[in-house]
Amino acid sequence: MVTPVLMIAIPLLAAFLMPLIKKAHRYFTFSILLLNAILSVLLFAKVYNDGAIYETIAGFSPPVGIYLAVDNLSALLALIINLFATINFVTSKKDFKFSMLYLLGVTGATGIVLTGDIFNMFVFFEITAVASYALVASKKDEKAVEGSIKYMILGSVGSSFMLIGIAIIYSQLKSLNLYDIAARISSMDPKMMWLSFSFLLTGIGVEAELFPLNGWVPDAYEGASSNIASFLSFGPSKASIYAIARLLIIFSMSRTYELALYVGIATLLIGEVAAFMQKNEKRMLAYSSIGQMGLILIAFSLIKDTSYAIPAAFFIIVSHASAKSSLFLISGKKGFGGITSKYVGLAGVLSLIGMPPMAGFWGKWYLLMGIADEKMWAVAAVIIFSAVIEAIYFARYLHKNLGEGESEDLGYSIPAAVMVSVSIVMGILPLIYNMAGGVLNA
Amino acid sequence: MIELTIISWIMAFLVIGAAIYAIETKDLISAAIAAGVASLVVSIMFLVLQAPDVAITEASIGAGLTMAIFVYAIGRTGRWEE
Amino acid sequence: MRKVVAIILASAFFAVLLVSFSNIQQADYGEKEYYYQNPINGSYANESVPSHYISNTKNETGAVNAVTAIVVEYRGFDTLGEVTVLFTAATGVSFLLYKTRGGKKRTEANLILKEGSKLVLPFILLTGAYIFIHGHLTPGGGFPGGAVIASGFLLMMLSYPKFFMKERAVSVTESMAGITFAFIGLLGLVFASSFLQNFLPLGDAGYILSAGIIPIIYIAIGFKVGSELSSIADKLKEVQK
Repeated sequence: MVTPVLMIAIPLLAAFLMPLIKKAHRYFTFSILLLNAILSVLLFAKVYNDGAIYETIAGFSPPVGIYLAVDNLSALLALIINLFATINFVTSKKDFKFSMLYLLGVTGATGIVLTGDIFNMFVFFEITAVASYALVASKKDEKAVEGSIKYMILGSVGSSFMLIGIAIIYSQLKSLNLYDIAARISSMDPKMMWLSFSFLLTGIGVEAELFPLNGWVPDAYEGASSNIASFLSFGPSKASIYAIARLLIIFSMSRTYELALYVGIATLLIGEVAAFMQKNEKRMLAYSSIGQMGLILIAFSLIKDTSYAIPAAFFIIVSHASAKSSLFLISGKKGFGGITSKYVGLAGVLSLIGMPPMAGFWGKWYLLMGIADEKMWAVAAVIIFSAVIEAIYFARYLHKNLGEGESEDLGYSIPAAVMVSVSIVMGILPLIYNMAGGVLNA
Repeated sequence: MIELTIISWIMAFLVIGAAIYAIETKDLISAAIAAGVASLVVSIMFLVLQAPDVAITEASIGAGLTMAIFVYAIGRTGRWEE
Repeated sequence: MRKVVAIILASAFFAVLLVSFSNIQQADYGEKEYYYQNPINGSYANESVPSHYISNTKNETGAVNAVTAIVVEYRGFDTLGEVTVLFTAATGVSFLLYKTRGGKKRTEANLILKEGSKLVLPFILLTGAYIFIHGHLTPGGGFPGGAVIASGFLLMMLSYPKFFMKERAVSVTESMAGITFAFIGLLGLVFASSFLQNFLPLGDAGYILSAGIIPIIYIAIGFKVGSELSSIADKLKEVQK
């Protein structure tokens, strides 16, 4: 019996258990993460065959109680997060508290994508955010602490904004259930609606690295150790961009989609241009992440207009999660010393700039198809312009690193190679389009 | 609507005053204590508004523990703001 | 200049919040028809959540204190999450703080404070325990009770510079309480139909042995919150010798 709640309950139980079994904590955490990944595969198979799953918690039916709502896209995202978390954890070398925080961070990100209740989503945001603050600082040097403090200040302001947004919705509609809110939202005063939408967008936008709120991103990614930078780019950020997609669907008004589109374009342009100007490699990768998040937001903001939006967003998420995470993972050493890291660097960069056999290609392809359907040529021009900039700075990056480098650390580069292979597999399997088709029926 | 008695007005001004003092003062220990005072008064307000559960939590966490944690944290760094 | 901007921003923010919470409309659920199909049982939900809480709490959960029923039963999953947030924060603090040598030497507290806090400590602990054991009957519950217990230990830390929590005992208490909470949730999945569902008899409302799993969960939360908060304070204190 596969129930989605097990994917949250078992890791929490394991995290509580961790202080009692200090010795074998690394194997224990790894096996829990593996179990979670297997569960998410089973869950996706079930959702794909039988349609969306709704599971009540505590036995009260939805508007009164909490429930988990799992559709195709959220099952896939849970799969991505847990799979990459399992692979990434191989590189962990720290003590049991690190394993605990890592497990909690992954659980929080999984909870965000699985839940169907807006306050529950906030709680999981808090879990993953608090765990990430500590994980970023886990290197314990000056830069790590600076990045962590910036992240923490912006993140806590963001959480309180999100809480205010939820409070406004509850005070107006007397409901916290996402589907219930979506059904009732038309009875809400438009002013209140905009107010709560902007509070929620601001709050989640901090985690999702959107344009005016992403001051923490370069510092946190630069300061964090390489496996944590990798965790940040597949875990919290992907879960929160998915939360924004759910938010857009709840408030489905053409003006909110438009706002999201503009924010997405601004994020894309600023991120890519800043990455182009940047000399430091880790910071460049971080700014490039910002750009990609903007691309995902643009894709999600077209949900209503075109059926290409969801596959586009899905492929960009897969490509970014696998390629950027693996690039961050090998960024601890200077240059690509060995054959494995050369492979990782090449495949990752190709997927990120959107070359044909990779997942990133399908993402940009579907996105441009959708935009062409809508005849929004200005948006298409912006995306192509940013792709050109991206190609230039990634070419510079490859040129600098493909030559000599320090001898590679296989403990890091082999997991990175496994991660980046996901990007290739997903590129060769455009079959997945059929799977990602009927997602998100809100 | 809840009627604002004179005590409620006094409490409201006390909260705002304590919050402004906590921002403005250069002495961080005083700022922490002022924040503690603010949350103590807020907890009384919760009690007046008939939310005893929240009042108990606010009194013990806001006024007690948070203040002590702030004071310890200030003890690790410096007392005066530049 | 910055102050002016700050004042303007703060008052704008205040005005926005004032506007947003001043006119809370009373949605009329009887008249309006919402075509929202409940995905689980297929019925058309047209019910206000707060009024459901007010009218059905006692029958459905057996708890007299409606706040407790909401916190532990209706939204028990959120509470599990919130406990985890606190747990994460405590773990993060103890993960990042490391002991440094040469903290400031603290002066001994005077006799009255020392003896007085010894005298008061049992009563504070008793009050905390009372608050969380009676969570389903009287105001309060696991979070406030745990915080009261932690403030009792804080009093000891303040008056005795050499008083430290026993680290091993605290972390074992914390883990055991967390495991109890999550395990009871899983038992609900086994014995009833869903996670955290009540599987014990409800009993007579108003007695201490009633309301099914609420008292057990609240005692676990009380121990967990108490140990976590005191361990945070203890970890921060450790530097000062």
